[in-house]
Amino acid sequence: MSALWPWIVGLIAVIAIWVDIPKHQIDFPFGCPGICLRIGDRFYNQEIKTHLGLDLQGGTQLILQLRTDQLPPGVTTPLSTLNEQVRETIDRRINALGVAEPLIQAAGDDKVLLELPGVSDLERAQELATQQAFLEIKVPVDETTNTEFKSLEPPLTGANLKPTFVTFEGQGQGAPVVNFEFGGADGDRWVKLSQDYLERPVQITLDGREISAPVIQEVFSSGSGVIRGRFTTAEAKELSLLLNSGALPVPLEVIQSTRIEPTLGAESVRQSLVAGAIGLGLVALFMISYYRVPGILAVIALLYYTALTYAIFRLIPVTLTLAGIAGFILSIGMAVDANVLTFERLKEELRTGKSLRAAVEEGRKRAFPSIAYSNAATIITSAILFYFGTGSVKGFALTLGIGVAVSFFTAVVVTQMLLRGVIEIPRLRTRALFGVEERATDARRAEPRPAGA
Amino acid sequence: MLFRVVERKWWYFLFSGLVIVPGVVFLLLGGLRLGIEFRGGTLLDVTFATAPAAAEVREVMVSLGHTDAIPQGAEGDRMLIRTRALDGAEQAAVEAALESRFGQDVQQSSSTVSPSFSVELIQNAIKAVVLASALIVLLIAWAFKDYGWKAFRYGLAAIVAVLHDAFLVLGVFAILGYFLSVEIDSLFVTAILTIIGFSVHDTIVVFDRIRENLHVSAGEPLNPIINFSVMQTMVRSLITSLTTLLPLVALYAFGGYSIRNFALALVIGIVAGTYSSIFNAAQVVSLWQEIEDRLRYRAEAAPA
Repeated sequence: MSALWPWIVGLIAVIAIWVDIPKHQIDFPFGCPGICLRIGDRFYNQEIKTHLGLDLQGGTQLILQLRTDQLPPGVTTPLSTLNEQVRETIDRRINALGVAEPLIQAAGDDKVLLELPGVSDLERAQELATQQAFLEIKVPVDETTNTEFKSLEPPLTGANLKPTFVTFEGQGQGAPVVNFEFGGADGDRWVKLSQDYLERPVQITLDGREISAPVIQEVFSSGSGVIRGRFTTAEAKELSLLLNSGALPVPLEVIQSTRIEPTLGAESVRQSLVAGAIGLGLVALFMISYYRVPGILAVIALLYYTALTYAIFRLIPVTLTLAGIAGFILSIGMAVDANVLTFERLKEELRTGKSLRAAVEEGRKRAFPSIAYSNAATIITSAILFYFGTGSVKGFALTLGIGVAVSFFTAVVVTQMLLRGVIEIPRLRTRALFGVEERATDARRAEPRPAGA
Repeated sequence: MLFRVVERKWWYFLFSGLVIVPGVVFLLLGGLRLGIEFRGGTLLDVTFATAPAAAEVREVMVSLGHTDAIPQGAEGDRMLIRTRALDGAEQAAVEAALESRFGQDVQQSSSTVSPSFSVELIQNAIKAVVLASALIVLLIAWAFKDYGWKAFRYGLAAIVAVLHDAFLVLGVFAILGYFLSVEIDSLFVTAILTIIGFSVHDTIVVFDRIRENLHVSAGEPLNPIINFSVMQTMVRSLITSLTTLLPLVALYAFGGYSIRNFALALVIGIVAGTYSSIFNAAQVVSLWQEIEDRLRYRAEAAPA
């Protein structure tokens, strides 16, 4: 087993470095920037890249609360189903807009998290996410009035609309109108309605507000019609998009919104990289100057750790946020701790007069419980933060947790392996190189032994 | 080199007290200021071509009817403006007004939390702290399970050390909040939890050594064993703190404005955590033993 470890460690290093290499600047064989597998007829393609959070690439984030308290009485759809329907509807709306890589996910059953990278128009994003888009046709309340309207029984709504589209009419084709068509039985009701209310107005409402109240001029021959609502072209297109995506099953409220300018995000990335590099450099400098040969090993292990952790971030993938990078940088410091524990033990064992080989073995055994318990404490904290946290806190917890877990592997396996390898190199078998003063016996042993001694 | 870290415990307790008490005073004075995440509201982060005076920005905000707006200068030409929760349209109006007053180069990032959601965020923060603490007590108890009931005094001592660190950081931020209007947000709670994790981590290493030495020198008095164990682990404690502090200091100095207070909280917490794991945690165990011995002595001395 122990003979196998160097190969495993080496293999992991090669894979990690391959994953870490940026894939966008290079032409890859078969045009595949990541993992592309084909087994029989099955394909598995995953592009490998660093996923930057909104705070680093700019964009808009909304957390939406399902206001089930505003649902009409009698609705018994379970919350989880409502949540799913909300996400599907928003997904259709966003897709129609062509936002690249939107994120729409449930945050508990009663909330939805929406991230729109690159979108900086908060007002529009809010409207798109929260407009219920509940279309209803209403008719005059009685024979005498043309200004008060009521719902039909059952209500004639936009639930069965076919895809709508915008056309232009009037002088110079300047007035945009939204063309709609009721499908199925609603189409017949629409024709019937034109017979019942000929030469009288009907009201077209969206979320309870009138958008148009046309007077019916003739009996319709089909379920189609137009909405002339004194719109601008943009407004007409938006209405058409909302109608096509379907209505939200429950009113939504924006409970948290964040909007980050892309330039601010880019600046944050630059600052974090500088901070990370300087932090890593300082730690490396300190470790080598204090621990000598083991320090160099610790730095190699630290680079290994950095490459492996970053590769894991790219593979899972973990979306990196500002707080996430902070967690990663913090874990660099903690990753060193396991090495410090081992090396301090090693020194102690050497001072008791053990040989290098025995001291390395004893140091490993004795440092292990401390390393295991202390890492467990940090992983518990990360898990709790991940579970309870939202947004930035989750990001921090995830990168810190992954970081500490990986550091456990590098300290217990990689550093130990390097240490055992190094003490077999005769030129490095000097106690001073391990930070411990020479023993008198070593000095004697270095001299040529008299024959027979 | 052998300090009497256990015998002089009262000096170390006194030092901790002197450092923590001012912060606690400001905590009681209500110095800790909640950020918009915990209170609800909007935080606008505006980058100007050249930052105007806060009073000028406030004028613009008041003219829009946001009389509660508090502009505050940040790094470079950035400025933070705090208001009640503004929706997208209101934010767009602010940006337009700032652009017309201070030129076109205004870039506005924002973050808004509704008051109802902020209550939930506070509850989650409290739940996280309580649950994390409870699990860590269990972890320590399990690590010292060989001691039977004595395991709990180690657990308790670790908690005392953790509270020491948490209160120190809270106190410092209460002082910063009182004088410099520094606010706490969910990242601050994250920092506190990380500090708790780190402090326990550090304390466990010391206790683990005590356990090992107790095993080796069974039957010998506790205080010298504790003293010896703390000395043995001190170098490691200091070095680990140093290697953790180095990246954090880099983060504080170069990581940018948004992350600076977070890095500061971690730096303070880790320094405190190192101090408490060397000078407080094991000393509490020692104190417990001394009190127990004294009570037993009295019980034995008392006439039967």
